[in-house]
Amino acid sequence: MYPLIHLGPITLGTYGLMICLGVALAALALIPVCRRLGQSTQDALFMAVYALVAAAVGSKLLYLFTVLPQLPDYTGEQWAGLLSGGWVFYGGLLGAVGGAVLYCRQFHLDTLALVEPVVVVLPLGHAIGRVGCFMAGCCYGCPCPPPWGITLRNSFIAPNDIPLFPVQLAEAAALLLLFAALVLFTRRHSHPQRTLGLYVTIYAMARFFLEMLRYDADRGVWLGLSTSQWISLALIPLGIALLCRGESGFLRKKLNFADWAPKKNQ
Amino acid sequence: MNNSKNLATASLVLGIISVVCVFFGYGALLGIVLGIIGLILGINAKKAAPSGMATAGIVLSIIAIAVCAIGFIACVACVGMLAASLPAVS
Repeated sequence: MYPLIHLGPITLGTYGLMICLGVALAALALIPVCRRLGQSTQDALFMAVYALVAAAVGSKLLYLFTVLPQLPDYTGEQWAGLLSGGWVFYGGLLGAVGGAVLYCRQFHLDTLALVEPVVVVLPLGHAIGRVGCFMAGCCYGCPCPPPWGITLRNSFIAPNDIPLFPVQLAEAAALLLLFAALVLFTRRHSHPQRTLGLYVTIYAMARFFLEMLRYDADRGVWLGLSTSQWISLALIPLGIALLCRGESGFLRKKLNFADWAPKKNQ
Repeated sequence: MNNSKNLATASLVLGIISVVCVFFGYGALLGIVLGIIGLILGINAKKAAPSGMATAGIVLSIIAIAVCAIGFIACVACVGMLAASLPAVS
């Protein structure tokens, strides 16, 4: 819609701007959430940094996986475009889990307890990022007549002059609702495993259905379902298992590095 | 202690370099990479021994990453727009 904003001589990309705004707002929201859940804000922020870096790597790798068959035919311009665009959220989520575990292992912390406040604020940052997708015109929806369809005029990515369903805004709304649900869920007590389970279950279900409304081509389709839908199908039972298992179990013990000591070489 | 001071100094230097990178178009990509390295070094320094220099390195690296990310995406979008405006060769 507005992929670039011109402020006098300076041109800013709205996609990057909204992602930075989303990260900044999520980081601000993390402070009261950490206080309420009795976690160190500094550790949660530092862990989020590790998770973000790993998320960027995971997100890009999964995108490259989805476009693997087309990669040999890419032109130089398309290869250059890969440096800025082409991210898959689920790849980022899987990478972020790796980054969070790495941080907690390095500094001997309980991963799930520290992940809980980050999971609560994650949908807020993600929702603002999705508004950035809408502004840039990426991750667009299927053709749909007005008033639900919005016609883009100057998008570099989405087809112009065709009314498209704003699936990015629908996902942003779903994520804001999820954020509100997670804040309410953790209002009284801390229950890290269930919070994570609730997030994974609801987001995976929402994403599975929202993917049906998407129209962008480069998403890797197998047996009629996109890569993100396959990952959603795998994550839904995992999320339900986390919700049902309560606060005990293998995962909680395995990811608690508070008393962990690295093995020394003999 | 000395090691954490070295890490903090490295973080601050990388933060400064990555802020400068934003003024060089595609150099912003280098700025993002250096900013991330600076940020992780700053976090390690602050966890080992909290210091003003480590905090400065972390803050500067975060600012550099944000500014470079916005600048880099705008830069790529501008090149895309330029390519789209070129006449098609049949």
